[in-house]
Amino acid sequence: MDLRLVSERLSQPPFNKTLSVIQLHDEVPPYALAQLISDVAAYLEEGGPVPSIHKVDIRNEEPEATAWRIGEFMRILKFRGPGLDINAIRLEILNADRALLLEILHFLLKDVALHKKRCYLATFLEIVDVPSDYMQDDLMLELCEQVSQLQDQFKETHKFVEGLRQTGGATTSVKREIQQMEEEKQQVLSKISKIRKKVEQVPNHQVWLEAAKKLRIEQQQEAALADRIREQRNAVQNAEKKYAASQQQLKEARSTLTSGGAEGLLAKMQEECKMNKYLASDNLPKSIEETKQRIRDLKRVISEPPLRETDFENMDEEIKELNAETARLAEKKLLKANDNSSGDDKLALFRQQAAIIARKKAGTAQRLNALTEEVMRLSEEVESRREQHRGPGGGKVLTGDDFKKYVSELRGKSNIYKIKRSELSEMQAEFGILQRTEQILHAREKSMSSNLSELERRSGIPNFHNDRETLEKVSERKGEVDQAKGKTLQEISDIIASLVSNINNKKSVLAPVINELRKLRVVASDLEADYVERKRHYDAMMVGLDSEAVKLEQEVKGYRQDIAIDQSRYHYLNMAIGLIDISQEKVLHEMKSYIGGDEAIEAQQKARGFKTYRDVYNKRIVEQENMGKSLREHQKEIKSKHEPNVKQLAYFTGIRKLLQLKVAHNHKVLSGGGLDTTGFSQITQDRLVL
Amino acid sequence: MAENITNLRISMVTSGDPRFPAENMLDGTTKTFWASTGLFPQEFIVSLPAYYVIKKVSIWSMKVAGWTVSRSTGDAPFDFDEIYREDIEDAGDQSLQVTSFSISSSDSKREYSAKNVKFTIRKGHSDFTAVHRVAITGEIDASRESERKNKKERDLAADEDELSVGRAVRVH
Repeated sequence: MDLRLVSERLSQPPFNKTLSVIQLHDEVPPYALAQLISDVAAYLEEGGPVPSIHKVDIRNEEPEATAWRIGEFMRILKFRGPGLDINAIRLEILNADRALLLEILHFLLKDVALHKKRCYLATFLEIVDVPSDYMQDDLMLELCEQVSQLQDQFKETHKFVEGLRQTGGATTSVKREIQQMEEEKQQVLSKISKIRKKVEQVPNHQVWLEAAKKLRIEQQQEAALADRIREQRNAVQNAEKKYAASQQQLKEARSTLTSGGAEGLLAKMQEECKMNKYLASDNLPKSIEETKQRIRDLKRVISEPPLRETDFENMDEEIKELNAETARLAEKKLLKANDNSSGDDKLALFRQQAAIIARKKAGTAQRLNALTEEVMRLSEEVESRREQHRGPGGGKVLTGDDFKKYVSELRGKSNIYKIKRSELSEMQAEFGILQRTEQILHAREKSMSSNLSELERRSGIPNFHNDRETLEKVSERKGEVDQAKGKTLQEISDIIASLVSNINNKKSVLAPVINELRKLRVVASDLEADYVERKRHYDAMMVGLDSEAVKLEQEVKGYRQDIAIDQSRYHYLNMAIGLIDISQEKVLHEMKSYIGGDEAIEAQQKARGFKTYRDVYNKRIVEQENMGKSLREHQKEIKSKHEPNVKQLAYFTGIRKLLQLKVAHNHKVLSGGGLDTTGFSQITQDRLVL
Repeated sequence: MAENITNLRISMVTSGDPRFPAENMLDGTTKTFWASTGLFPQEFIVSLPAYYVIKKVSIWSMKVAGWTVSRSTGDAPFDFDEIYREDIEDAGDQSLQVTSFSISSSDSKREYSAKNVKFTIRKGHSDFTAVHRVAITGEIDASRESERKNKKERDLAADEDELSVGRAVRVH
C-alpha cells in the first residue's frame, strides 16, 4: 500500500489535509480514517444530480450505518479487498480494521477521475434490487421495464455526450478560427477593392488580367505536372525494384532447375519434410517432456517448505534403502534369469522374438535404403545414356535414307572385319606351327650336340666343335672390324684432302695481299719515325708558345691596368682643371672688382653681400688681430696676478679649515661634556679666536 | 674620290667596360657599342692608317648631350683642333642618336689632312652613354703620304748605317 500516495493526494486540494505517512499508519484513529473515507467519497460524488450521502460527520452516525454506507460505496466502485467479499468488508469496517481502512483510502485516491465517473454513472445505472415478491405486481414490472429502458437511453446519451465533450474543447478553437477567417476575409476584400481600383487605372487592364489569369493557371498546371512527374518517377523506381526482385527469383528458379529439376526439388522437399516430421514428432516432444519434468521437479522442490538437516539425512537413508532394494531385486531377477529358464521361457522367447523382429526391421530398412540408392543411380545412368544416344545420332531414330546408308556402311565394315579376323586366325595358326617347329629343332639340336660332344670326348678332343664355332665367330667379327676400320680410314683421308685443298685456296687468295702488306709495313715504319720527330718538334714549340702566351697575357694585364690608371688619371685631371678654372674665375672677378666698372660683377657683389674677397679677408685679418691683441693683454693680466692669487687661495683654505674645527668643537661642547681645556694649553701657536 | 675609311684604330679611350670595348665602335654595325662610365667629359681618339682629308664624319650614339670633334694634323695624337661642336637634346625614349657633319671643300679652316681624330663627349643625359658606331669618310692625301714614306725609308737607311758602322767598329 502506498501511503505516500495517500498523504500526497490528501495534502492537495480539495482535501487539504496534511497527514504524513507515519501519522496515517500509526496515529490517526480509525474513526478519523472512516471520516476521511467519507470525505473522499463525498468529493467523488460531487457533480452528480443528487447531493452526496457521504457528506456526513461520522460522529453523528451509527457505526453500523457507517459500515453499511462505506461498504455499499465500495461495492459500487467494485472494490476488491484482499480476498474478502462485501459482507466481510462491512464487518471489518465495523471492527475498524486499520489496514482495511487504509487500503480503502489508497484505492479511492489512486484513480480519482475514474471513481468520479463511476459514481456519476452508478447513480443512474444502478440496477434496482426488487425482491421477487414485489415483482409479480404489474405496476412494479412496468416500472422496472421503464427503468431499464431509461437506463439504456441514458447509456446512449451518455456515450454521445462523452464523445461530444471530447471534441467539445475544439468548439472554442473552431469559433476562434472562424472569427480569424472572417477578419482575414474582410482584409482580403479590402485589398481586392484597392487593387481593383489600381488596376482599373492601368490601360488595357482587361488584357493584363486575362494574361495574369492564364499565367496563374499555367503555373498551377506546372505544379501539378511536377507532382505527376515525381509520382511517375517513383512508380518507375518501384517497378524497377520489382523487376530486379523478380529477376532474382527467376535466377534462383533457374538455378534450382539446373540442379535436379522439379523432381529433384520435390525429392529434396520430401526429405526435408520427413526430417522435420521426425523432429517434430519425436525429438521436440521428448525434449519438451524432459524440460517439463524438470520444471515440475524444481517446482516441487521450491514449493516444499525448507528442509532441515535431519530431513536431508532421512532422505539419504531412504535413498540408500531404495537403492539396496533395487539391487536385491535386480539380483533376484538375474538369478531367476540364470536358473529358471523354463518359467521365463515364454517371456524370454517373446523377448527374443521381439529382438529378432527388430533386427529384421533394421536390416530391411537398410536394404530399402540401398535399393532406393541403386534405383536412383540406375535412373541417372539411364538418363545419361539417353543423353548420349540423343547426341551423336541427331535424333532418337534414324529416318529412311540415313538409316539405309548407316546399315550399308555397317554391312561393309562387318565384312571387312570378318575377312581380317580370318586372316588373323590363319596367322595365329602359322605362328603356332612355327613355334612348334622351333621347339622340335631345338630339341634335335640339343641331342645332336650331346652326341657330338660324346664323340669328341671319345676321340680325345673335348669341346672341339665349340672351339671351332668360336673361332669362326671370332674370324667373322674380325672381318667386320676390319671393314669398319677401312671405312673410317677412308673417311679420314677424304677429310684431310678437303682441308688441304681449302688451305691452298686460301693461300692463293692471300698471297698478293701479303705482298702489299710487306711493302706498306716498310712505309709505315718510315712514317712513324718521321711522326715521332715532328711530334717532338711540335711539343717543344708548344711549350715555347705557351710560355710566350703567358708572358703576353701578363703584359696585356699590365697594359690594361695602365690604361685604367691613365683613364682615372685623365678624369682626375679633368676635375682638377675644372676646379682650377673656377678658382681662376674667382681671381678674375676679384681683379675686375678692383678695377671696377663691370655691372654684372657689381650685381653679383650685391647678391653675395660684399665687394671683393680682398676686403672680406682684410676685414677678417683685422678682426683676428684685434682679438689676438685683446687675448694677449688678458694673458698678461692673468700672468701677473697668478702668484698672489695662489697665495690668497692657500690662506683662504686655512681659514676655512680653522672655522670648521671651531664649529665641530662647539658642537661637542653643546651636546655633552665640559670644556676640555687640557688639549688647548699645549698648543702655543698664534691663533685667531672668535 | 671620297671613301669610307677602313682600318681605323682606337688609340685612346678614357673609360671602358670590358664587356663593351671601344673596338665595338669600329665594327661597322650599330648592334654593338662602347659604354662610357661615370664622369664627363669622356674622349676617344681614332687613328687613321694614313693622312686623310676628312670629308664626312658620322656618329651613332645614345644619351649623349654634347659632342666635340677635333683633329690633329701631325703624326702623333697631340694638339687637337676642334672642327665640330654640337649639343643634342634628350629624346626621352631609347632611340639612337645620329650625329653627322660634312666638311665642304671650301672650308679652308678645316681642310688640313689629319691622322688622328678626337671625339669628346662633353656631357651626357644620363650617367652612362654609349657609342654604337663611328664612320669617317675622306680622301687620302697623296703628297703627305709619299712624304711620310720617304721619311721612313730615310730613317731606316740611317739606322742601318749606324749599325754597320757599329759593326765595323766592333770588328776592329
